[in-house]
Amino acid sequence: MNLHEHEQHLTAYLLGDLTPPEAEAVRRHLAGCAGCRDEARLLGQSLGVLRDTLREDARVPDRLTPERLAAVLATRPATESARRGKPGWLFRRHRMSPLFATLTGLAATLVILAGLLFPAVSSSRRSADRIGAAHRSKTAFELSEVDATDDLLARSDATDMPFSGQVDGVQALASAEMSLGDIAPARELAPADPFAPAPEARRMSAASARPASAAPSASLPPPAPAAAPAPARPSDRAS
Amino acid sequence: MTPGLETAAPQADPREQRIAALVATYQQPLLRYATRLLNNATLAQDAVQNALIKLCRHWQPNQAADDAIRPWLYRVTHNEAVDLVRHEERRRRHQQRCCDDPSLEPPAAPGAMEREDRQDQVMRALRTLTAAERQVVLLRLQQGLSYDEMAAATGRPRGTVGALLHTAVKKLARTIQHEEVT
Repeated sequence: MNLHEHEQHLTAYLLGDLTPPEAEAVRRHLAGCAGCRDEARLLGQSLGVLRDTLREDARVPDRLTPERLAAVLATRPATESARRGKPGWLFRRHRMSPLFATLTGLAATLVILAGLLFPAVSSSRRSADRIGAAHRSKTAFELSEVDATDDLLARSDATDMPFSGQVDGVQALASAEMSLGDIAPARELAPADPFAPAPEARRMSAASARPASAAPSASLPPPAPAAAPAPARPSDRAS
Repeated sequence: MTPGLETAAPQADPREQRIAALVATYQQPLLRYATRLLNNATLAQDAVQNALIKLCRHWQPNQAADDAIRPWLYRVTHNEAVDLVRHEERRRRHQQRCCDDPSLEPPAAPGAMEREDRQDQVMRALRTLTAAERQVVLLRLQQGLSYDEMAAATGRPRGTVGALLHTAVKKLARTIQHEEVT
């Protein structure tokens, strides 16, 4: 059955919802299209049944229960306070002031706790960085201050610097490996990562540069598939 | 003093009188709409009650023309119904209870009752539609809303409403025809 562009207007046409020009266009189409005429006949019969049945639905309750109706009619307008010069939302907010006070107090407590804990976190991070910096002293990147290490870590994602004493840095390295295959320090510095399994990594690092990227990847399942084939690709391209 | 009070009372509450008139006008059509939308009379009462409470809270005499109230009420009722269904589904997941109202259920199979009337057939077909299709079918065929009112009530463009309605009516026609044949 070929239902043409007017087919989607058949329901509106049968319900009398089209404008006169639209209805005339559908009428003209129906005069010359047996398929659409059959469709219109079927839809017309069903529409009549549907409308009559839905409007004479005797199983549906006609009224709200008395309790519900009383609750509805007892509802006061939300803007009643506005008539007294107080916006409703503001008035409600004033009524909620104890809650806001509690939340404000909690937020202040969190800020104070964060302030107290931050030096501890920072010092532990610096100690980790200090270990990393000791390893890095073997390389060309001789960093004189621990704060400078923090700065290097902060920029490591942006500059794809491979060294990192943190998991995030390792993940960033693993994901950046594809584009950094020709940067030699990337694989040489990775075994010095204090969070990597040190003995194996060091041994493998001495053997070759390839397992260096695989060592941190093994402990981090998500980046592993991306990191593993990376060293092989330059040789693929080379061949 | 008493005569003064008698004359003051009607003047003091024109809003309440209007609200009461609106509630009286719309409670039945909204209940019919919500009941068939939800297929649950109790949840429909909840949805309509919540919608009418919102009307009482927010309606102001010069705020909206009566023409705008009608689609607004259907829209609010629909949103309340959706919220109730979500809440009921969460509750049902915990209690493993069915949301549908048995008193509104059509027979389980077409030949289950000796005399199956057309209403059961239509209601069963109605339940095969998507929620959006059922919404426009009820708004147009049960409630008699215009396409513009349906667009306002559903938040969809007029053309989309028309296409949804046509698709729904076609599905219903096929379902009803198929059941009549079988």
